[in-house]
Amino acid sequence: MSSRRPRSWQSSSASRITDEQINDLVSKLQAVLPEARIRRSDRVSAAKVLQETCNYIRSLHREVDDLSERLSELLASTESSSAQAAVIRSLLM
Amino acid sequence: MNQYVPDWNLEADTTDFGGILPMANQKNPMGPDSELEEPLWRDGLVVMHGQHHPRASPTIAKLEPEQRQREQSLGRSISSIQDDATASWYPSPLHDSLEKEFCSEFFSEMAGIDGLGPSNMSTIDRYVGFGETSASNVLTAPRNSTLHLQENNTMSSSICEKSQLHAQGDAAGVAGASVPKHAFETALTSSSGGACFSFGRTGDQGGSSQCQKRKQRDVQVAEYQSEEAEFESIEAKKAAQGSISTRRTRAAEVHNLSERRRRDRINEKMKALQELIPHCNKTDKASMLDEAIEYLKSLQLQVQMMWMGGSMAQMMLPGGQQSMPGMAVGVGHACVPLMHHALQSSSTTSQTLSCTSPALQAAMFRNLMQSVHLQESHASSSSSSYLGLHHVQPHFQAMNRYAFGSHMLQQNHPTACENTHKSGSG
Repeated sequence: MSSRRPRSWQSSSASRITDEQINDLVSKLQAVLPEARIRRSDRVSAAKVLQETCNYIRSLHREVDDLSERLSELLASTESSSAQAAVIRSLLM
Repeated sequence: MNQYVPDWNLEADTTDFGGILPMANQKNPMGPDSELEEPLWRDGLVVMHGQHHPRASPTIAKLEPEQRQREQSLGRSISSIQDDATASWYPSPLHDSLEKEFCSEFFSEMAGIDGLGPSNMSTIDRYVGFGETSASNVLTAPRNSTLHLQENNTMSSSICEKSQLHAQGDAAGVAGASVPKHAFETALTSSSGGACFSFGRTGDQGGSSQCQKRKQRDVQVAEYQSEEAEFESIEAKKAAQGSISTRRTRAAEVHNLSERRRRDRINEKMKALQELIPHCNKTDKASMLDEAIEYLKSLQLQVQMMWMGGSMAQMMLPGGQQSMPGMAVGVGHACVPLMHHALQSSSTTSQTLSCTSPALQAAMFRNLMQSVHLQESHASSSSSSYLGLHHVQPHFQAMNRYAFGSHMLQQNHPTACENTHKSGSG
């Protein structure tokens, strides 16, 4: 599995982080991204995957913010003693 | 063009200098001598040979009036000083024979005017305008600071690089020492990087150490500049040697550069990712990617949970159905497939819940809470550290099945059974 490419800048001595390992992680990351399930191309560069990941995380953050807002509104509108309120509170943490 | 340098013994190709000036700020194809001049003016590393010095001077001299104009346009008082100074200084360094004395004069003066600030800059400008060969090189080096202000980063750094090759070590060191002391330090980015790059290599003066520190800070910019310069130097080499070997060298160089660029881009993205991930103090790529993957999964789960809980809560409201489920479906199609399924479930939930008894709704909520507790108790995944909830995917899906399976059983609702959760709802 080790691919020792004859390149000077590959850090295979001290950190033991091979390109193979990184590629593995990048493909895993790609698998988690939504669009990857639809179109999976092998030649997607790591930079693109990282960019997509950043974008995706940002969009998820926005969504969480939105949902939190909505949930808090809901919480305000319900009676505070119901199980429902407890659930919402646990979601909002 | 030669009007500024009447005493210079120039060769016939003065037209090239017309191209060199603008070339300082752009890539400009030039005449037969241009390739020899190019490295002088390009950013980053420069390889210039002695015979080109005479040509360098007129170009610099030509630059000088332009610089002056720019300075004046900036409304700097220095420009006035510069004009006066220029007149006095102009004729002196025109000949190679004067070069060495000029250098020594220059540096003694540079040392003397260290603390003058703006006036120092003006003298630097003067010096640059007149440079002979190495004198000009040395002069241009400190001029980098001023040139930077005049948006001549590229040229200045290239000049600086040239100076590195030809300037004497002492001269470079002294000039380098004076440069950091100016107030222009904040404005110095690429120019100082270029200057320090050369100074650090040529001189062991105290100033060079300062320069080296700045060099590290600006190394990235210098690298980008050096990349471009490398291209130019490669072209120069190729023209000079001209053969298959240079083509190979060039291809290899190009490859290296593109590879470097690619890695730079990837590193940039990794840094951006690192900033997005909370509490990420890892520096190596692999663990960072690991964390990113886990964080992403946990984020997805969190969003999913919130959607679920929110829609169910809305269903429980006596007000009836809100717009949330509809939106949930719409959003779900754009998001994670997990969410997609969940939102489909929730949409069906909304349809069914309106018909279900309050008891069932309460039961569903209890299921939800149970699942939440279940997940909290299973704190195995490290992604739990990101969120208060301990999300474990299988449990979540089990919860889905459990939550919606029960109502499906009771309602015999066809649509809800179409998703994958149906398999477990039996």
